[in-house]
Parts: sequence; C-alpha cells; structure tokens
Amino acid sequence: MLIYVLRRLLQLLPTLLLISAVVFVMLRLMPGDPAEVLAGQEATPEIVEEIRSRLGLDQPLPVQYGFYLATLARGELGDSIRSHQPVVEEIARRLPATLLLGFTAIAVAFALGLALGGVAAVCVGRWPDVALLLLALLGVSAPTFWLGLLLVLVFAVGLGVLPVAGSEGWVHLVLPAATLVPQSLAVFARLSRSTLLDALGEDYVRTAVAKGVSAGGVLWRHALRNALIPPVTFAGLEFGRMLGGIIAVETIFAWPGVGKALVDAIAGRDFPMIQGLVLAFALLFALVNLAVDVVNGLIDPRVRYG
Amino acid sequence: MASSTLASGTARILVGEPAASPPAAARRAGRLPGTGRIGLGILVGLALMALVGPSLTPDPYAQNLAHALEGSSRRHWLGTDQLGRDLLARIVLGSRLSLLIGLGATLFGLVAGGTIGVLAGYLGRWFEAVAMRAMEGLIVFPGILIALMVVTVAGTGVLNVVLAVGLRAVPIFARVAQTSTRSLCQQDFVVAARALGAPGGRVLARHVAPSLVNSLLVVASLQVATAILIGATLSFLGVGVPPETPEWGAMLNAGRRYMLQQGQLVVYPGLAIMITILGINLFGDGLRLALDPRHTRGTLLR
Repeated sequence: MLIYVLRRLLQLLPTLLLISAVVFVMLRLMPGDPAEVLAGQEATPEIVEEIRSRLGLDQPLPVQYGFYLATLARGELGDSIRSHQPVVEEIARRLPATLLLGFTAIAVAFALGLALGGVAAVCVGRWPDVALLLLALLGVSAPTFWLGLLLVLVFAVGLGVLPVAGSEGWVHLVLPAATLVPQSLAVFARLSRSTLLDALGEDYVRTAVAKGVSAGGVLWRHALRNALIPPVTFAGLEFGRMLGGIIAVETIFAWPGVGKALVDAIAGRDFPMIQGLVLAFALLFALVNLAVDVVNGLIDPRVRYG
Repeated sequence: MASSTLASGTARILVGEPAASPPAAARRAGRLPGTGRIGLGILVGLALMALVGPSLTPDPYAQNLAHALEGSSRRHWLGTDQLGRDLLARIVLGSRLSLLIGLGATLFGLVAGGTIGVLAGYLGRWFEAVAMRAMEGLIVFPGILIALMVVTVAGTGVLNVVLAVGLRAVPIFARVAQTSTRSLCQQDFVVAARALGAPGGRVLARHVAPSLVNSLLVVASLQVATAILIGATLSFLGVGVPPETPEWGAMLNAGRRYMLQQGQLVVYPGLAIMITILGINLFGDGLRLALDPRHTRGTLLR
C-alpha cells in the first residue's frame, strides 16, 4: 500500500510540470511585458527591473521556464497588487473556508447519492426509481448559481430563517453547501444506481444468493464494495466540476474563500493573485484526484497492482 | 428512458438488469427514443424562440423607469427589471446568445480538438506525443479554470467567452478523435486503402473521418450543455459578456442586486438555462442510444 501511494505521488510530478507550463504560457500570452504585468501599474521601474532579472525575462524561453520553475519551487508568488500582502499568505488565509465548503458539499452529496442510488437499484422500475431519475435529470440541468439565488429567495428572504452572507458558525454553511449539493447528488445517485445494478448482475452475487445470504448481506457485503469504485473515482472529477459552482456560490453568499478571491482578482487584473490562485486550484484538483486513487486502492486491491 | 429494460420484481433485483440482446439494440439504433424526442422538441422550440421570438416581443432595450421592478402584468408577462425593461423580451433575446455561445464554443472545440486528435492518431510518433501531452496539460485543469484563464488573457466579450469555453472542450474532443483514429487505422479497410497507395489526406477524409463522425457528434451534443453552463457562469461572475447584454447569466447577475424587491428577476432567466440544458441532455442521450448501438442504455437515464 505504501509503495502504491509513493508511486502515485511520483506520478504527480509530471502533472505539476504540466500545470506550471500552462500557467507559464498564460503569463507569456498576457498582453504587455510579463514583468510589468506582474509588478502592477503602480510599480516603479526598479521593481519591474528586479522582477525581470529574477524571472530571467531577458533569457531565451526554455531558460525563462527554468527560472520560472525555480521561483515557483521557492514559493515566490509575489505580492497582491490590491492588498499588497504576499500572495501565498492571502491564499493560505482563504483556503480553509473553501475547503470546508467544498468537502462538506462533496461528502453530503456522495453519502446521500449512494443511499438514494441504492434505493433506486433495489426498487428498479418502481416509483422510487422513476422519481429519482426525474429528480436527477432536473438536478444535473439546474445551474448551481441559480439554485443559490433560489435558496436565498426562499430561505433568507421569504422565510427569513437562515443567514444569507458571512461565515461564522455552521448556520452560515447551510445555504452555500445546500446550493452545491443537488447537482453532484444527482450525478452520484445515477452512477451508484447503475454500478450497483451491474454488480448485482455478477456471478458472485448469484452464488451468494444461492448460498442463502440475505438480501441485505448481498447488497452490503458483496455488491456495494464493487459498486463503490466508479462513484469514488468520479468524486475527484466532480470536485473539479464543482469548482465553477464553488466560485459562484462564494460570490453569492460572500463566503470568504479563494473562489471569490479569484473572481475579484480577475476583475481587478491583479495578476500575481490570479497566477497564485490558478496554481493553487490546479494543485488542489491534482491532490484530490491523487487522494481518490489512494482511496480506490484501499477499497479494491486490484487497483493497487493494476 | 430505458423502459424496456426496467422491470419490477425482487428476483430481477438480485440478478440485475439483463443486457439488451444485440438484435434489440440494433433495432433501436437509428431511432431516437421517446425522451430524446422530448429533448429534440425542447431544442426546436428554443431555436424557434431564438429565430422569430425577438420580433414578437416588446423592445428588450426600451427603458421605462416609472415601471421598474414590476411583477407580472398583461403588458409585461414576466414583469420588468431595474430599468423597466421587459423581462420576457430580454429572456427571449438572450436565447440567441446562449445558443450562440454553446454551439460556437462546441464547434471550436470539435474542429480544433478533432483535427489535433485525428492527426495525432494518424501520424503517431513525435506529433502524437507532443500534441497529446499538450492536451493533458489542459485536462489537468478544471474546465472553469481554463475558461477563467482565457478571459484573463484575452479579456471579456462574447467572442472571448466562446473561445474560453471552447478551449476547455478541445482536449475532450482530441482524446475521443485520437483513440478512435488509432483503432480505425488498424482496421482492414484503412490498411487496404493505404496499401493501395491512397495519399494520406485522402485516407483521412474518405475513410477515417466518416467513421469518426458518430462518436464525435455524440460527445458534441452533450458538450453544448456544459458550454452553455460555463458560459452563463462566466457572465454571472461578471467576467463574460458585457454586463448590460441580454444574456441569461448576466441577467441573473444584474437581477441579484434587486432580488429583494423583485424575486422574478432571478427566477426566470435561470429557468431558461435549466430548460435549455435539460433539452440538450435529453436529446444528446437519445442521440447516443440511436447512433451508437454498442450503448444499449443512455447514461442519463440509466
């Protein structure tokens, strides 16, 4: 298991190189001199010159990329143009809020989706199954940011029971998380329904039934373990898809996370912040997918040796 | 809906769904299933709305501050926005932009990604290695992040939104095209064409490309929904189309500030997005069933 984890960690390296290469290309494609872009409009010529020599912008492109990697490896992402704080500190301060929101939503969607998918698989063809299919269809079609607005309209404005903005205490988490859940819930419910149905059709399930194992035992001990892998794998991808929703939700509910910071940075053309946040999001996405692989290795030994 | 494979009874639970037999699957191929037809109906309705709708509704730009933020009435079926403009007229006009962004971005992704993928799969060697590495470079980023990076570099505006949303789809199409091309190139009819001395371009155009169309079309149909969603998200965040444009995401963003006075402003534009995406998903899933006999069940309603 340890060897498997180490091997996956090693495979993260090329991903990190790709991420840095794409962000490097993005910086080079920015209109204007990258050194001036990174220094900001108020910067003095000396600061621009310092950034230029630090990034080696007078060197050929491959050398520049080498310099760029070196600055990244040292964690030098510069200062935010707007707040004049180091980008690394700004991100570190906001990241926990986003992680709390994202992981809460994914966890709730995953658990509920698995349960509902299980119910649908057991009741295949009857009304709970059909109702779930229709709800899932609506769930994947409704834009997350619209759901957020509707929830604000109903619970905060109409009923006045839940706070609209802020982040103190769990009550502030309810509406933003509830906004993110339905779309992923629909995906997980559909996926676990179909994988459970597939697993229930396998020979080992028939053997277990023939042996006299109870229906619950078959579902829990034999089918579920095998049906779990696709939804777990999907959780990683879902996290990436949810990111768009998280950014919108943080904007709607004034949630002090990195998503809102990214939108503000783009609107304010705060390039050091944009660069840092894009790197942070891509790294987070890669790490989540790594974690997903490790969890899959825990569930299914075949994955470890595959 | 995969209704023919849905059957009740506890016995069926434990043996699972039987796979459709090949003849049944073949019979179904080439025919759009019921839900797919509903989707097609929704899309035809939307296309009609985009084409002739704006000439039937009031002027979507006409301001009337005396009648701002009104509820539904006989003059304004869905009420008015903060400048007294007719909400229905703006939603109807907005269908043009949403469809344009969705189709334009997907077309860009299809053409760029398809070309890269086919060339990579056909040429192999260093070109394949370099091209697919670049595609991986894009795939390691979540889609919304790619779109945000493009608007950062290129700026906002309708064309840049199309580009931003389309770039996200390029690696998806490239992968499908590359893997299909590679397996096609090993099939007898392509090998025979090459052995007979047909030039590379001709082999690609006459033998490889036609076999790719189906699988790319299925991917494309569902990608339009994602493209519309991400395009609307960009505009909702204020980094997509210009703020005053009658586009559904931008309308939700503008309406957000007045939702306490007039809740309808944030209800109907989102409903329009949802119905559009629902229609595309239903149609795309039906298309998958109809065009690809290997899939006996759609992914949407399985």
